[in-house]
Amino acid sequence: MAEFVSQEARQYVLLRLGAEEYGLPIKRVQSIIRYEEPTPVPRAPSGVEGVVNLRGQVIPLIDLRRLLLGRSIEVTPSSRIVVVDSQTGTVGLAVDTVHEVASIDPASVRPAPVAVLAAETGEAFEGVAQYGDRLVILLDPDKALSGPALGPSQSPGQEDGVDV
Amino acid sequence: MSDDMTAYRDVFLSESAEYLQAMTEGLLALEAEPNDLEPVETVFRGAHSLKGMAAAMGYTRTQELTHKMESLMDTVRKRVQVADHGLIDLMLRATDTVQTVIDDESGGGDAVDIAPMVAELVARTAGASSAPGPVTHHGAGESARHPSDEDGARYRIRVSIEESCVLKGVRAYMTLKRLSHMGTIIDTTPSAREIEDEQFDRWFEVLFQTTSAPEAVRNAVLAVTEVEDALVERVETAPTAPTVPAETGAAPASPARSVPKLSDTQTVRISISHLDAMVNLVGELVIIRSRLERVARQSGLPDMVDALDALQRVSADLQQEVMQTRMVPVGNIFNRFPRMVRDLARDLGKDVTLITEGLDIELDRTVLDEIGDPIVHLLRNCVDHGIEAPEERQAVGKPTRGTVTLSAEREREQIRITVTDDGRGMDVERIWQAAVARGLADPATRESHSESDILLYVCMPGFSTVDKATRVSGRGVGMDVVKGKIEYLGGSISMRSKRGVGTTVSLVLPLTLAIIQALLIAFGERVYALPLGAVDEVLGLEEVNVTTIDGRWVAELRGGDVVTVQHFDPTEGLSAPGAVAPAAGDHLVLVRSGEETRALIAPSLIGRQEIVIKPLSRLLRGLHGLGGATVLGDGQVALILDPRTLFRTEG
Repeated sequence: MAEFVSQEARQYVLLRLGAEEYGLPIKRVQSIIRYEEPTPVPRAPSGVEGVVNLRGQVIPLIDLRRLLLGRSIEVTPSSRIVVVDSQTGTVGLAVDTVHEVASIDPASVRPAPVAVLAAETGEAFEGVAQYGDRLVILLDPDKALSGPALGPSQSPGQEDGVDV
Repeated sequence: MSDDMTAYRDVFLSESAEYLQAMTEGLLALEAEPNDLEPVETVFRGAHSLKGMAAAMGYTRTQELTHKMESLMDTVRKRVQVADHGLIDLMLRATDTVQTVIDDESGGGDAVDIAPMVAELVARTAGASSAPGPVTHHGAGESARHPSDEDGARYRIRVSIEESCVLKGVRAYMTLKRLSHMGTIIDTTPSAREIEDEQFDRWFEVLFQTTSAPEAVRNAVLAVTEVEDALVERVETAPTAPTVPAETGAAPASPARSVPKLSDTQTVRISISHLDAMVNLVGELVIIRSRLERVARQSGLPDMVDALDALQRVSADLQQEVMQTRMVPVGNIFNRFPRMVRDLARDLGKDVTLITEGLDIELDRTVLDEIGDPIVHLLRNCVDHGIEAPEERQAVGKPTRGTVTLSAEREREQIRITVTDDGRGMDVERIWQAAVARGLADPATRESHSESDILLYVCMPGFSTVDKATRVSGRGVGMDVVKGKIEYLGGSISMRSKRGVGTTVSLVLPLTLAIIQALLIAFGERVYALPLGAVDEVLGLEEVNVTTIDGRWVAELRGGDVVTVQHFDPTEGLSAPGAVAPAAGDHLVLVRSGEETRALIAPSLIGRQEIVIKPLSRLLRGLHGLGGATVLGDGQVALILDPRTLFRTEG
């Protein structure tokens, strides 16, 4: 991102998916709401769980843990939906918990170690940052949401097989 | 520019567009009926009014150009010459130039040179006087008619502005503006532009024609802040002397019928974004109202129920009004087309009339803005490929002049726009063979394709290359774009054609994209909304005879029609047609999709409700069968079934 050259500390919303801690740039976070069960959408891309009502706006819900780690979140009272603005519009990201907003010094951000990341999802990360004594994986929402799991489930005009 | 002037400029721009449109229509009418004096008057008055308005705005080039157009039309009006094709062409081109100059001048530009066009107009005007065309006998008497009888009197007004005034230009501008409401400003000294630029000392002069009394004129001018004095002096109008432009400018200022006067327009211009915001807010209101209704029912408080009844009425009215503000008559875009068709036909050496019908049918602005291009495309196809050359038409016994009809009509919650030509038509079998040859269609399925289905193959990208080879003409060019656009708008397209007789393309579009009546259906615990516009009937199982044909479940209706039973699964989507039988207690909803009707199995009907359509995220666009989502009274999201694409899962 262009502003990345700025030396000022940048703010991230820190969230948890299972045992791992992730950061989303706060500028891109519209709001954080309590988890609610989505309305499933037939034949939606596999990464989309359904749609939820965000104060009258209908937005797609993506299970971030399933998208990045392949396992669905376990819904508990601390589950949240982080509403982010992305290139594909406003989307909700279901996460296990959101716990704080952190200022992270850009100087402390290192490229993500390629070996530990699945090739498919590696693109989604800006890097890894040292925060206190913890490691936080910084997410680029646009890249995280451009994977194949969010592409069209079937390309239009090529459906077949239902004819009797 | 001050705010005042910006506001006036906007008014000027919208009004001038109306005048130019009226003039274009007048010219086309005149071309069709060269002896009709009424369109001549319309064009003449249009040019005259534009001249006055342009003068008030200080748009000197527009003023000069329209003045020359007025002079030329005056020669037609007085029957000094006839409006032949050359003259109509020149005037139409001049109209285009006026638009360009207005755009230029209103943007503060200085780029457009009007000299060539002015020279052409002057030459044609002069050509008329030196070599008069066929002059009718009563023409001379007509030209001697003294204009001032019915146009009121002419005055020279000398306006002086207070010495202490800081914004002389603005005050002068306000004065001119005010005068333009009462009559016609013929000329000013110094020029209107100089006045606006404050290039005058303490006073300026206006040559003004009005039916109002001189005292009224004076009072109106004095009412402008910081105007010190106004001297109003009557000027005798000389008998018509065509060589002096200012004199021929004495037009009948009788209220124009086809073009509204500046002061008569009771409208405000409002940006679409405000309207969109209002529609959204009203949508929210509707949702909150349904939520309150639920609470009220549960609580059982009679006062609350009463209050909610009132709220219901008010919010319904409000919603109606807000939606109405976005409705625009299709005439707004249809009116542009006769000119386009004429020009195109002339370029191609064809003779084509465009008939427009249903101009006052209203359509949501957002829809209307989008359909202009597709219609242009269809019309071009008609003129270019549909209508034959005059000789060819004559050879087959058709009138040499081809006719293209563009009509709009309302059908329930939808609007149908039809483009019909009486041209050579399309050959269904040829198109079918071409589709088969390209591997687009399976020859074995010929029987299951309707005529419209086959004709729509021309909408496949690149199909037209085949057309050329098989001499079905290039009707496919760009049709894929048209079809895509219409479907994006939630509409559908169908075609009919008869070889040698003509082609009809029908577009069916939703009237509005925002709020619709829908039938709510529960599939298990999931609620779906189905637009009521596509629902023909809701039937209980006992009302029909459910049976199988060829292993497919069908319902035989009372009238004897047989429709396929369609099952829908809230998670999996649509099942294969006729694959699943209805269960006891289910209802059958007869849904129309294009030309086809199927009986959708509805496990549980919730009822009819007004819903606000929320678009689906880009991530979910293009899913067949879904037209959006809506939020129900309890905050739950219901997906909207899109009848137009609902059944389109077959290959």
